[in-house]
Amino acid sequence: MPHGAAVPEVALGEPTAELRAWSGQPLPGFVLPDLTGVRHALIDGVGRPVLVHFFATWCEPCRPELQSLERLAARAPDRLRILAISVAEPDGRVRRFFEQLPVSFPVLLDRDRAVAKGWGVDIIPTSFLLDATLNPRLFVERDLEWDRLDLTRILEALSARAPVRGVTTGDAASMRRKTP
Amino acid sequence: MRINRRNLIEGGAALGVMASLPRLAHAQATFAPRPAGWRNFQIVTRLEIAKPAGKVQAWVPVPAVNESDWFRSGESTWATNAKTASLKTDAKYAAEFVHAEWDASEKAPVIEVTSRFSAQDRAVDVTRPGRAAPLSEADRKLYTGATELIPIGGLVKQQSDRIVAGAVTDLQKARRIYNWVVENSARNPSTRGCGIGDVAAMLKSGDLSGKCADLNALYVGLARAAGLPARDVYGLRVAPSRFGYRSLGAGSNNVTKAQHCRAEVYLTGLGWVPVDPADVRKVMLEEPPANLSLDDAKVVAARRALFGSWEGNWLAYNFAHDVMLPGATGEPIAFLMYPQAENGTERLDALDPENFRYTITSQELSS
Repeated sequence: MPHGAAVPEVALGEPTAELRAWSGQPLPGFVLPDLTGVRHALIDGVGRPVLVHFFATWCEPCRPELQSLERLAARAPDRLRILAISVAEPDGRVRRFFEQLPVSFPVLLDRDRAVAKGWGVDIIPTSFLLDATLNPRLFVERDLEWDRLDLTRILEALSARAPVRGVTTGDAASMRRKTP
Repeated sequence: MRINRRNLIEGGAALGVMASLPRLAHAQATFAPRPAGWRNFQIVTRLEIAKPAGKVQAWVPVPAVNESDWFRSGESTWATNAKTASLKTDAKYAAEFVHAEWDASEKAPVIEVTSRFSAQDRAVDVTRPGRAAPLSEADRKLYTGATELIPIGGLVKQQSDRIVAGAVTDLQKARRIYNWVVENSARNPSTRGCGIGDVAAMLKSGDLSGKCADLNALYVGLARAAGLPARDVYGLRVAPSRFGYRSLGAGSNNVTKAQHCRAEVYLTGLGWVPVDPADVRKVMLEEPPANLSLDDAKVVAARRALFGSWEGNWLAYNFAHDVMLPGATGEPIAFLMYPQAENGTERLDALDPENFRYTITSQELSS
């Protein structure tokens, strides 16, 4: 289970849902294959903030969230690395899903949930924002409209030395677990 | 046209009767499974790999439940062009499946598994003490333990404790959990297959919607967390309901997508007691005119019956969780209710029978 006790220091603006400050230990690295078999290591992205997004094709709110991540990726192709991780689903199901919903960022396959477990992911979707040294700074255990966030302020916050303050607004998409 | 006041009154009365018919019909709703003789069935599972890409393997579940009062698994036979095919048994839960392997040279892998079984309606009178054999220590340990997706600590334990607080007997606890799941969950028609059964995620998110693998797993997890042996029973609807509940039976002989899992809770003296809160929510959602309330007579009848009884129009495959498929390159599966296959090193999507590809047909046999 992610650790979310906030230590208020740097505000992030006006997200559409809740981002919580990470107060737990650093999260373990991983190497996972994508849909073409190419292996991606978390550490390959050191030097740039990373958004790690755990999802499943059966998760109804994951579909619009992935689309919002794609729009976010288009806004910041060089400033933010996005890794989407499919949790415990057959490759073919994930492949067919992205044939209908193509994205530009890597889609990785956590076939045995090992990475999701290692990162304490209890709910799909869950996302983490890591700073450029790959330290987790923020996380959210629900779907989020990522392209409505103030990206510049997030990136500033992730590059700041001070701990980041989690932000909650009233217009939150409800926390949902599933449906295909 | 002249309107005669008398006819109008009579017509109005008639209209009143007509209008009340659905309610009357509901008020007379009957859902009361009772053992009334064995029914014999055969299912045929046909599996083909349209585009083989290297070595192909398949694992086809077959009935492996034998309970003297409600289910007898019969013989399973198969016809295939596989290099090898054999009946295998899961060591932990004794689930059975046909494991077939094809060489990469086979252009059109196919297997057809025919399974026979007998089933009858089942009912346990929970109002009277029984003389059921005690559960073995090994089974008690197995069916009160956690599985990959059904933890029995943390949120599950906390929720279970709240539900059974003040209950004295195991029967009271089992019934309270049943009522809680019925009253707090929901059937989600867009859930793929029968759901995932991730009980901890359901409770943490507060989203208690899903299908049988979700809702009945929730029952099993909450019961186990209360110290009650409980288990999922993974199976398949094979015939219409005799009680007129369209939602609780197979709509045709094509049962490719008719998978349904139920649950049982073990109560001292009574033995394994059938429970199916997921089907109560299915009745609520699907029985005409749909979206029935908890106090609708059809729902009331189903709810009353589905704690202690169920209908024998259903095949029971197994009780297994976290099943290791021998020879598989992929991961263990949470439960074995669908045919499984690997094409090369890729696990096929068991919830996509059209692309997979497989069909299951059922037939009731004359005795």
